[in-house]
Amino acid sequence: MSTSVSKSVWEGRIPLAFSIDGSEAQHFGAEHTPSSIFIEVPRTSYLILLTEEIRDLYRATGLTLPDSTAEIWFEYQGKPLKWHYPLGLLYDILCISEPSYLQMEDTKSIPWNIKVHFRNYPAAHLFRDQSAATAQDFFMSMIKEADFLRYGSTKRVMNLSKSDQTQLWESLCSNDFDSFWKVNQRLIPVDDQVVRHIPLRLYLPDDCPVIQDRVSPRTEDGEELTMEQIIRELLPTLDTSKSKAVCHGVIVPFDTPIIWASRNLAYPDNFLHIALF
Amino acid sequence: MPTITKLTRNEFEQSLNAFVETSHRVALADQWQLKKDRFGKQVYITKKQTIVCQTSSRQAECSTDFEICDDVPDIAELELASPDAGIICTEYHIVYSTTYCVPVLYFNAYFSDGSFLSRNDLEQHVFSKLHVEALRTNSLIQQGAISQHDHPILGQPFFYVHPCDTSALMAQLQIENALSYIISWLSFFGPPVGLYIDPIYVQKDWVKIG
Repeated sequence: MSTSVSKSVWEGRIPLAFSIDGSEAQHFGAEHTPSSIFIEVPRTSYLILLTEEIRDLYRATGLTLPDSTAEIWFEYQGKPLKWHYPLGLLYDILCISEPSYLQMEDTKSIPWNIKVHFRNYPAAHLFRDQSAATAQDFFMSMIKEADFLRYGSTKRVMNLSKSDQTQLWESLCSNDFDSFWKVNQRLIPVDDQVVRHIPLRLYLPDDCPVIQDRVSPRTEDGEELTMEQIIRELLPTLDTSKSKAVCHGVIVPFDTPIIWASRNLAYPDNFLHIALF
Repeated sequence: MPTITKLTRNEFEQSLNAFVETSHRVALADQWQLKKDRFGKQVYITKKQTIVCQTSSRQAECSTDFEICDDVPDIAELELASPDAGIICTEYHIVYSTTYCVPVLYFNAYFSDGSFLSRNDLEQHVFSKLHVEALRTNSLIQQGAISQHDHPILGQPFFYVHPCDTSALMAQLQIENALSYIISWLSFFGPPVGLYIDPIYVQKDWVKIG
């Protein structure tokens, strides 16, 4: 594993610009529509970790908002944002995969303009019971699934002490690289240890369901597979000569060995999340 | 004969076909429907149920005072019959887990105004009272054996019963074919979340023949 790559991935950040519709601001008692609020966050972070701060900032602009954050949600171009996805992943799926993004490369589509809502929570599209605890549960179930895919059992995760399990999530929330890796290094394969399957999820445009299947990192002859070979196996009809794979805001070359990608580019949930366009 | 603990996708889909076909044949009230993903490839099955709570208050206790209707009744008719009835529609999906190679039970529930039940609402109105406490306990997941996940085929949020221990549980049984696997699995995983299986499934000889 290359610590410098993992560290760069961990240190990736996105500037966000939050805004609210005038009618919604009025509904909550504001005389004028508040101007945008700018926050820079780690790509590995989650929207749910921002909801209280956002509520407090809008309160300070004069909105009368309830204490409960249960109705707060975020939207980008009409799409409710899944707050249990890492922000960097959402950005890659919704912004970089847009055809207009590459044309705007000079200016980039940053800050990322996100709309805030304080009512009419779209429960058909977003997890209910929204809280950091729900996001943590989802994160831990992904960690567990990654463990199972790699080794055929969830022993490594289940053998972690309760405080180590908690440390994984809490170090992610506090963006503490060293604290996270202290625990996570016990979950990843050592050196050239062969794993059964690669924890991988592929995201396609147009709200296609996420593609996830058992992916072996090698051929039967033991030859290491590349990202392109894996993608072709999962999506035989995709023309890889016209497609691009994005991870952490970077276009990943198709000839990247999948084992290297998994070790170095996996999100803290131990999955390699690739947006295709 | 070795017992079956996991299913391949093919075995899973074949057993769903057999299960739905049989459910229509022997248990006519059982409304299992076979569904396919938008590419016509992956198969899953769904079933809708209606729970009538004899109270209009969502917070009110209705532990013993409800009935489960297998066919979805006309809501207007029900309200006429008992003006205080609270009606909850539940929707169950059996979907394949490519990671764990086992069936997974996904579900959602709605009040009659279309709003979704939260985890607390589910405990109060849908889950079996016997299992509520056990479902809260899990060493890794704070909310217990049930939490939310995006439906693997629809991409929408559903509740689901965690599948990671399914194959260990199924290893305790003597299961000889994929159809009896689905039936035994459902008899374990359904009732805690309000999905009861008609005893006719386990009485008939066809279960053994598969």
